[in-house]
Amino acid sequence: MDEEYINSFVEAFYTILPSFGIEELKITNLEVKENMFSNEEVTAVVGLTGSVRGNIAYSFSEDSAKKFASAMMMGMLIEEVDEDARSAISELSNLITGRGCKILSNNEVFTDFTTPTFIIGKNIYFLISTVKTLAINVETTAGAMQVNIGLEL
Amino acid sequence: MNKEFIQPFVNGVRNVLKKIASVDVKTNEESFEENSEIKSKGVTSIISYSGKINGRFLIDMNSETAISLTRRITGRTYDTAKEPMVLSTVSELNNIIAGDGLTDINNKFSMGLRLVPPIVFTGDNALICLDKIPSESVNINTEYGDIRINIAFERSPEVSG
Amino acid sequence: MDRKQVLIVEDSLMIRDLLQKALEKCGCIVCAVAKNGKEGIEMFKEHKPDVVFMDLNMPIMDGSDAIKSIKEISPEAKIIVMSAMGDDETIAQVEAMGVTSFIKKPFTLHDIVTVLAAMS
Repeated sequence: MDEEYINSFVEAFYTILPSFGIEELKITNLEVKENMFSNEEVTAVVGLTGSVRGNIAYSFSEDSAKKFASAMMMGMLIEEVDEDARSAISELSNLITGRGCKILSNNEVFTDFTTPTFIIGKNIYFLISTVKTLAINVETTAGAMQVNIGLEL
Repeated sequence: MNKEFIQPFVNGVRNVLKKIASVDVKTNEESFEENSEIKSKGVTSIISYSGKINGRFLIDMNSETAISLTRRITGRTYDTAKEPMVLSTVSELNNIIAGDGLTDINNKFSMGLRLVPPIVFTGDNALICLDKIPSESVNINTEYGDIRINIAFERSPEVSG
Repeated sequence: MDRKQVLIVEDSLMIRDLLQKALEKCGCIVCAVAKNGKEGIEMFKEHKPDVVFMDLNMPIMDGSDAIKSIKEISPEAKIIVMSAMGDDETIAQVEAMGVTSFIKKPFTLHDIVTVLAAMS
């Protein structure tokens, strides 16, 4: 996958997450997978259209999802991934994707993105795309976030 | 939601299952509002679209129905819904059904709607949390089991055509 | 009937499977299968098929870009485009590409027979 896409979204994590007090970002894994799949419990998926088509999935364990949601809600204690927590995670996926798309547009790549779809459950096996997918694991003070970027390039 | 935006998808399910799988569907075609979440029956595929407005189409069935439809289409048997051909089939059926629905809507109302690649998943007790955009579901019955479809548009589409 | 050599360019596993079966029933030989437009161009160069069945929306390189490239290699190439969308705008776009025919998914065996017959 083109470096400019990787860089746009990595830059987006580094811009958006710290604004919610989610710090010490470390990319612990970066790999290209044949298909896009996730088996975490919580996932928010955003679709892209325009110059580039595809999906970006932000996945978390239930535990990390609660911590990320808590950070987004000013440190409020989150005991379960309830409606507010889901809304927060969806919003996070929206903000990161939006930021990534804005950076791409500065490089003359124009995309639009759709409302996030939020899925929660056990033993979830997703097939998000048959494109080669870039899977990025980001460790933070709020736990790990797995980002799968599957773009038709 | 204006029924003119629901009917094309119901017709899509009917046309596509008949043409690809020779399966007849039965539905009372009464749609009902979904408010906050949909519990997946076992295999769910979601496809988003954007254009003059954004929206999402969802198709949901249990694992047995997914496996049976795939077997009907490909002539081969499968052990679980996780198998690539089963997931590919549900995903592609979703793509074609949504394409059918949007073709009709675009032609009638000039919405310029375009599809994003679909996603498909299986899971235990998966919940799909619907954003606050209005959506309606329709239950459809086939000889291989029930299918639920859900149609969402981010705001009530204005009929311009 | 001479057996046509066909290249399939389609990202969906299910459609590739169905289309291959339908084409073989029609007496065609599927000489190659590609999962995206880029692979499609490479296989076109390698196999020089009589006809290409090409999906419009695909990863890596979509149908319209692949068609342009194939037409540059071989302006008389026979390309049949397939798509889930069949609205007026899509059809106008497809016609502007100078393709042989357009099939809206879902297709039946009869649809395949019809487009192949129209080519002969």
